[in-house]
This record gives sequence, C-alpha cells and structure tokens, in this order.
Amino acid sequence: MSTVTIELDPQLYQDFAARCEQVGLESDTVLRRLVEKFTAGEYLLDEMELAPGITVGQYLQLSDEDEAMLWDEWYAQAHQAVRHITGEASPDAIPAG
Amino acid sequence: MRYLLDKSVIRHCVRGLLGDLRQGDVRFSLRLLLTLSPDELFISLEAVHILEHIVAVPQRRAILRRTSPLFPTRYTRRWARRLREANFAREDAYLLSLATFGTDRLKEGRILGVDVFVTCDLSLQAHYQSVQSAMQKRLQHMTAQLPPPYDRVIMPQVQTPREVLA
Repeated sequence: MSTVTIELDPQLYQDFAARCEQVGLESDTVLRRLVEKFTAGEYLLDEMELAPGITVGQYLQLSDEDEAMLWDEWYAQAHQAVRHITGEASPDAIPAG
Repeated sequence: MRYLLDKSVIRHCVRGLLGDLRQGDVRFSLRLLLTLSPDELFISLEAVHILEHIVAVPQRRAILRRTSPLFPTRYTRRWARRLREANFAREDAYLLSLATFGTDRLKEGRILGVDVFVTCDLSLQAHYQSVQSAMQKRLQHMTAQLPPPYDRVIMPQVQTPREVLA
C-alpha cells in the first residue's frame, strides 16, 4: 500500500468527517473510493477535457446557444467522417408505422 | 415504437449526465434516454462519431449503450433533397430523411425508418407540421417507383422529448 497525505482546512475537515459519519464509512474508505472513481474516469473535475479544446468546467459554463454551435461544429466534422457509409435494408425489413 | 434522437436531444443528455439538470429540455431528454427501451432508440452515424471520437468523458458510454446507429440507405439522400426543397436546413433535411429511410444494419437491415423523430427544436417541429401534408404526397409519389421494402416507408412524427414521455 502507498500512502497519500492531504491537508484540509479545519472547516472542510469537519464537514468531511461529518459527511463520512452520516454515510457510515471511515474517512480513509471514502477517500479510497473517491480515488478509485476518479482514476476510472467516473468522477469528473472541471479541469478535465470534455472534448478537444474544452474542459468539463468550460463546457458547463456555455450558454445553450454556444453549446448548440459547438455541437454544430462537431456534427460537421462527424459528417465528413461518415458520409460515405450506406446501409441496405432487407426486402422483408419492417417499416415504421 | 422506434425513435431517432437528433443532436439537440443528445447534447442535452450529455449535459444531464454531467450533472446539470437545470433546464427542462435536459431533464426530459435524459429521462427519455433512461426510460425507453434501448431497442427503440436510434441515433445518426454522425452522433455516434461525436460520442466515440470527439466527446471524451465516460458519460458518453451511457448514451452509446442505450442507443443503436441508424444507417442511411440508398434513398436517404434523394429524399433529403426533396425536403431541402421544402426549406429545411441541410442537416435537418438529412436527419428527417434518415428517419424515413434509415436502417439498423449495413447489410440486411431488419427495420426501415422510425416512428418518431425526437428534437428539442420547436421551429423545426413547426415547419415540419406546416409542410407535412404536401411532403407526404411527394413521398408517396417517390416511393411508388421504389422496390420493397422502400415502397412502404412513412414520414415520422416530429415530437419533443416531453411529448414522447407524455
């Protein structure tokens, strides 16, 4: 086992200890699980990259209009990548309706 | 029922999965994704590409796991051109056409088209409803000359996530 030492300001430490007690877990267990989730990519920080050139935090700050424009750009890139792919329905394919 | 989710719905799902549930469209889009059967939900190849190659956060996998790609077929572009003549934007025309002429496989697709095109774009929905009747006639004229199963396609309903869930 490796050991990590972290420093917390007193108020944050108190809140953290209270929260651990509330969920019935030891503080080191909570920290270990948070590290596991973070390492597995399940727990995101604002500084992490959401897509090339934009972090999660920056993305979440976008207005609806700016977010839509970004997706328009991504869609245009994606369309160039997939535009030649065509499927074929079987003669007995089930139509909608 | 089969549903094609447009990118407005998918981007709202991404935001919701990142934990920002403040907007109604985000909540309804995410609820739709999480409550309907994955067998019923389809997304375009463009959306698949965005989720596989551009968006990097693991939340994207929740969308990919619960949806299937809808492949364009040989008549998708032809019908998209007709829709563009009815003043739909290029992307909207293509996706609406995909909703009519899309299939679930590259070869021997088992389905053709979806019942509902799901979007949060209210102006697109309003325009579609205003031209639907005229376009329905054009589609019938076009499909009368097509081989099976392409002669049996329909135009989808266009609904918001909230309307689908109602």
